[in-house]
Amino acid sequence: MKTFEEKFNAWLDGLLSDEELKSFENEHPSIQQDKAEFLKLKNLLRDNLRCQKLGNPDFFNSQIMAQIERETARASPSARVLGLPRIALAGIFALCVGFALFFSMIPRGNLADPGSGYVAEVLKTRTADPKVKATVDNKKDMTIIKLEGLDKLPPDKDLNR
Amino acid sequence: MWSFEENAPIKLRKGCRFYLLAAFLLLFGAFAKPAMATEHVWGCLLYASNSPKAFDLPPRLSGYDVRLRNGLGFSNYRVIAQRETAVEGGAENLLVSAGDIQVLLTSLSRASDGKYLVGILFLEGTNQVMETQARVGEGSPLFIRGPDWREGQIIIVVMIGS
Repeated sequence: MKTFEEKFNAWLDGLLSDEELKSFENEHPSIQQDKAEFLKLKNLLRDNLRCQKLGNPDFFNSQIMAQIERETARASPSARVLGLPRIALAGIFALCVGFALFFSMIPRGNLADPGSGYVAEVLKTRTADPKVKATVDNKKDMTIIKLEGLDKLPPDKDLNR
Repeated sequence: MWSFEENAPIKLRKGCRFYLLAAFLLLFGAFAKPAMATEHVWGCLLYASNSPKAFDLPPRLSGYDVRLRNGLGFSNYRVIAQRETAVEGGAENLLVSAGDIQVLLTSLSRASDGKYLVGILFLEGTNQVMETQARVGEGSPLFIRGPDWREGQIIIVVMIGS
C-alpha cells in the first residue's frame, strides 16, 4: 500500500491512474490549493537560489579545511594535549626525573648523624719492625690504627718541607 | 594535501619517543658509572697536640673534631701536608709526604658493595713502618696514629672521594 507521500509525488508527476487520481483527489479536497502553493514556493526558490559555480574551488576547500581544523582544536584542546598515552608517558618521564634527581642530589644516610655512613674496616696490618705493634681501634664512626713502639721524631725535624 | 587525522599519530609517536629517550638518558646518567673510573684519594698528615693555639681542621674532616678529640686525646690539629691523588691504574701512588714520612697507596679496588679495598704503606725514609689493607667507604677517613713529634703526634688520614 502506498503512503501519502508516494501518492502525492505520483500525483504531482501525473503518474497516477485515473482511478487512483479520482480516489486521491476525493480523499484530499484541498490538494489543488496545496499544489498551487508548492509550485509557487518551488518557482520562488528556483528564481532566487540558483547554483553558482566557484571560480577558485581549491582555495575555497582549503579555507573550509582550515576553519574545521581551528574549530576542532578549539573544541578539544585538552584532548589533544592530555591524551591518555601522553599522560602515561609524562608520568613515567616525571618519575624517572624524580628518581634521577633523588639518587644524584639527595645525600643518603642519617643527616642528623654525619658518622652514620662511616665505613672503615681494617682487614690486615703488618709492621716491618717487630718492636712496633699495630692495634686497631674500631669505633662506630671512627677507625684508628695505633702504632706503638715507634721512635719519636726529633723535635727539630722539619716536616713542613 | 595535509591531513590532520593522518599526521596526528605520527606526531604523537615522535613525542612518545622523545619522552622515553629523555627518561632513559636521565636514568643512565644518574646511575651509570664510567667503566674505567678515576678515584680520588686524599692523604693528609696532621700534627695533633694540646697546644692552646687553635687551628681549623681541613674541610674534609669537618664534623670530626669531637670524635678526634675523644678518639685520639688531642685538642688541636694542624695540617702539615695534604694531597689529593687521582688514581687510575694499579701502580703505587704517593698519597702524601712530609720530610721523611711518606704514605703510599699500594692498591685500590672497588668491591661489589660499592666500598673500596685499599692498601696503604707507611714509610719513614726508605724504611717500611707499616702496611695495611682496609675496606673503606667513600668519604670515610681512616686514621693512623704515627710517631710522636714535639709535644704531640703525627696523624695520618686517608680518605677516598670527597
